[in-house]
Amino acid sequence: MHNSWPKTNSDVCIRCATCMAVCPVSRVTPLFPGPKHAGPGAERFRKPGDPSVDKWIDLCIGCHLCDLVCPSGVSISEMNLIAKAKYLDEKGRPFRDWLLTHSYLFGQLGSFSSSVLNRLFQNGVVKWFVESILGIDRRRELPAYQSSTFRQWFKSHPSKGQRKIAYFYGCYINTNEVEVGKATVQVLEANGFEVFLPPQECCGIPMLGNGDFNGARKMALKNVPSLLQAIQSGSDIIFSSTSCGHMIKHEYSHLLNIPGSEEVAKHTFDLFEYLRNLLESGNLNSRFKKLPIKAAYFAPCHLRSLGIGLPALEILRLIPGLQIDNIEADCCGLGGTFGFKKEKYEISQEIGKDLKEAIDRLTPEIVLTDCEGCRMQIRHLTGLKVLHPIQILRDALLQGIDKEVGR
Amino acid sequence: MHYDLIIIGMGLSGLMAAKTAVEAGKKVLIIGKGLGCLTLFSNTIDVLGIPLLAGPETTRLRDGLSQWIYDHPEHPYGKVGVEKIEEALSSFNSLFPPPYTFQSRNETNSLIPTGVGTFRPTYLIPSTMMRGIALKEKKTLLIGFKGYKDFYSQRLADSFECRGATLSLPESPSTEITATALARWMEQPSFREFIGTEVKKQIRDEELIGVPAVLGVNDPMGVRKDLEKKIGASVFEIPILPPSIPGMRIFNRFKERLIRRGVTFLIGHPVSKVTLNEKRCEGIEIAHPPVTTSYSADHYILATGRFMGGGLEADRERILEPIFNLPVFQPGSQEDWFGRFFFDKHPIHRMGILTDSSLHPIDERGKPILENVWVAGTILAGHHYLDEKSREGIEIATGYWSAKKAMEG
Repeated sequence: MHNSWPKTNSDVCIRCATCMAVCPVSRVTPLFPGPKHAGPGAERFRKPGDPSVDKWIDLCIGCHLCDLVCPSGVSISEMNLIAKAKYLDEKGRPFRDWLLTHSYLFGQLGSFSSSVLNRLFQNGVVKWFVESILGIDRRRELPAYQSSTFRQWFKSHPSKGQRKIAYFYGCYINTNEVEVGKATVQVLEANGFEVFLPPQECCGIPMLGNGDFNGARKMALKNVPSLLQAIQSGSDIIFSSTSCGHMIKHEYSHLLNIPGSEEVAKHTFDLFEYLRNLLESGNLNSRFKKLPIKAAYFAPCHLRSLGIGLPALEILRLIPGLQIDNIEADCCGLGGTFGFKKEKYEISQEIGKDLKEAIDRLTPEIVLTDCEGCRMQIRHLTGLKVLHPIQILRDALLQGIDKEVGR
Repeated sequence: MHYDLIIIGMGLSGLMAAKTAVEAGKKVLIIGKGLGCLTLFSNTIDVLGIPLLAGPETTRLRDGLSQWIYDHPEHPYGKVGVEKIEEALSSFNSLFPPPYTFQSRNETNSLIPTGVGTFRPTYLIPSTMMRGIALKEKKTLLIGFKGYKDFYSQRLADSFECRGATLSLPESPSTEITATALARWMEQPSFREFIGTEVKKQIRDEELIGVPAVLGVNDPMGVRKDLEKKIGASVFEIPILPPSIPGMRIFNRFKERLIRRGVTFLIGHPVSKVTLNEKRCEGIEIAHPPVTTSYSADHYILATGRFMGGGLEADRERILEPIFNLPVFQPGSQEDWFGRFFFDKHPIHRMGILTDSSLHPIDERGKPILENVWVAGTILAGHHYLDEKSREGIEIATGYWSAKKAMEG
């Protein structure tokens, strides 16, 4: 499998250092040498049979910003990821990493016992245990589970519309932020769609980010056939989590070579990209009521990587009364599971500081962002109310939605 | 998606075109294969650094430019004209209200010290660098940082005949420090406190303190003011090697303003295909494997730069423009590509896209090729920006002018 990865384009790098201008990690810690050295620089010294020498490779947060700015098209973060996988294969992975990347296994249980679990998560002794035994930083709030999952809500929700659309909601929406899933369904229905949920598992991005290619591949092999079936029945697929979306749309084919993934990619869309397409064809329900709120929008790294611009910002600007500014900052610093790890918490917070300052400059009442990781981190950094942009769009549309379907 | 104007290229020329068009109320998409070259080159705004204009207290830039255009009618400046060049420069300047402004001294070029130990003529200078002009007259101390390899203060002090010192930083005892890390630390009061104390220890009788251009990305003038208070002497920045922090300030400012005004930015994916119909461009495709997305516009501006950004490519036979496959002005045979010195009127720098006076691409016989495509920036033929020290001026002037022309046409 390793042979099929395109990994030898380091010679395309002209050492121009543009990537050094954007790397969020090397900016905050001298422990990580930055994309130019860690990626194409070190790649020239890596040989398949030789042991890894670059311990710091584990500090690449996987934001893809270096890939985006490179004028020569070098896939720097991909080189890093492959080197990281090799390093961790050799060194062995802590149980902590398994726990962090397999939360989908106990999500259902988490919802079922949420009232007990959520209280336990805040308990000092439990936090001590979690930090010293597992290596998950005690300063990080573990995401709270909701007592009823999104799937459960959807089961008792009759979706009606002229055209069918499949929704990949992702683990976090299912067990921790059900409201985002509800809002997505309600907005799509208000635009004439009948929403259905194709059978789905975790997209696999937590495993991939931790260099566990086999684990990620397993998830992809479950999801792709199910999504293909939805496409063959004539619907498109939308996602509301830009991380899940980027994984499905690009990494499934590019890094994991999953059969059928290219077809899936062609029919899979970011939620707001889809709404923007409706707007372009004159079919977006834009009977918005006035929302006099001062909001700030943050574009997650994986959204930037999707290469679709900032569709959520474009759509939100249609809401009368909503004052919305784009937050000019790079990565939020959470990096999925990165910021939960004890040895990386400080780095994660340092990266987050720049984002916090950028938010402070805008003095918003609420912050909007499409990624659950960014939402967790921004709440942690600022204490502000942080929502998915679809929740605001739903609020602006509510008057057009049948009360029964409302909240 | 359909736009009024699609700009291909995210360097200074593309950004200026986007600014000009969005201010006229147009719906604009700007596409960059990468970030553009602002973090590589630009510390100051060069307009024309030819010998006539190079010395201190010499000819006003305006007069020098007029003479230059008279002598070089085929130069990109000749197509824009002095008046519009000045208009373009003020449009650029409007992005930088006080305290961090770009200014010329008495509308002439000034010689400023650089991080490689030379004096370089340049026109618009950021406020943080202005005092460097006085390096020769005033006693100056240059400060470097241990581990930051792009600024050797003692070596520079030899060139500038002043004194240099290198500070060791507590946060990073022996490892390599990047410009971006330094710039970020500079924004923290505790770090400035440390630097202030350390610099004070080094000062003898110097009035001026020269530091590499790393005084923060967001508020360089605030950082400088605080440092000066702590040190008790005037501080100025010296342009550095890439990544250029002053270049990041310019890029970030453009991006912030343009996104606020509704410009769509696509960073990181190349244009993979253009659809042409007779003499018009009807659409483009952006490849992001495994998907491609189509975009269309009434007008297009090509501002993809030269070899480094991929605006021009070379194979064994010739130099190509890979997006529209426009004819590239070049010497007849490959043997003519060679020159002894890269920076000394090397023939490779003269190659580029030929245009008419409205910046429409033309063929060898001077006939326009595409009616709704304009060309801007260093990809144009007829200049020698390294030798002329005209890079940013050409980018700003032609970026501005191409958008003006596109809106007329």
